[in-house]
Amino acid sequence: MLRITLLILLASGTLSAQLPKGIYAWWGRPEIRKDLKLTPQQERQIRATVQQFRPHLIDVRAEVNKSEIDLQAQFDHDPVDQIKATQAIEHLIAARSDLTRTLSELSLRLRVVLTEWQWQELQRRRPQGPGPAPTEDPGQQK
Amino acid sequence: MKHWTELDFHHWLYGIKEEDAHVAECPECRSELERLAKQRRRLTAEPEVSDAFLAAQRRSIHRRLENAPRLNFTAMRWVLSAAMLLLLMFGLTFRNWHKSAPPISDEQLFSDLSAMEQSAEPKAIQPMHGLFVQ
Repeated sequence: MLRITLLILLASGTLSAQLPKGIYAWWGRPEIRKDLKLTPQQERQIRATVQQFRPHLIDVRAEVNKSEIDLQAQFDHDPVDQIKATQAIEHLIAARSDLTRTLSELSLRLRVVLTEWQWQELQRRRPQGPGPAPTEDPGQQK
Repeated sequence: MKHWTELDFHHWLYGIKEEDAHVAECPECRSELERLAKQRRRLTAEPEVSDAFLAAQRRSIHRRLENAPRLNFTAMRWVLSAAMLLLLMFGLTFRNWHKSAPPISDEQLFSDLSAMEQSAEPKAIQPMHGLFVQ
């Protein structure tokens, strides 16, 4: 049973890896704000949206961390309590699902504020792989 | 002539009505007027207070003032110092409590969230990952 659940968890991880990734606090970077040519009203809307989601995101982050620790504790326990371990897995799945849902909702709310061109520009600047987000547009280099 | 009514006497008592010829001639009304005047004098007269009574009263007041419990300034100083110390400790604790939970920046928060979201599997099962990957 535990083995099957682990397989499902891995599969869900792989699937979720295919979703749009790499959300970062681009609204806090002056060069990106400038390149996107955000209007003062857009900046206000973006800031308000992020502020609205922030408390829940902090809670979600804590919940995922806690669930990870709980699951690790179940794996380290000897003998393994399969029921408790399965519950910990379910808890972690729920927390990660909440994280994906909340980040997706936030992204959608921010997307609605942006124009098509701004969205494309932001997509182009999306960080590729690990490491910090790009800060300069290669096409605009002088 | 018509006798004074009760209202007439009341008006006379309050100075609204003057004595008239009827009161001067009518023994009944005159008698009632004198009775009321006497009663008013009695009621408005200053009470007679002897010097001995006043002296005794003064002595009593002085005695009470001398025997009144005085504030213990030494004890008050200690209480005040303790209160200040408690206030200081509370302030420092509150300040440290605030320091213990610094607000996280957007940069850090979203960096953490992104890393969490991008991790394919929980940390606990990473050692097992090799079993499922060719």
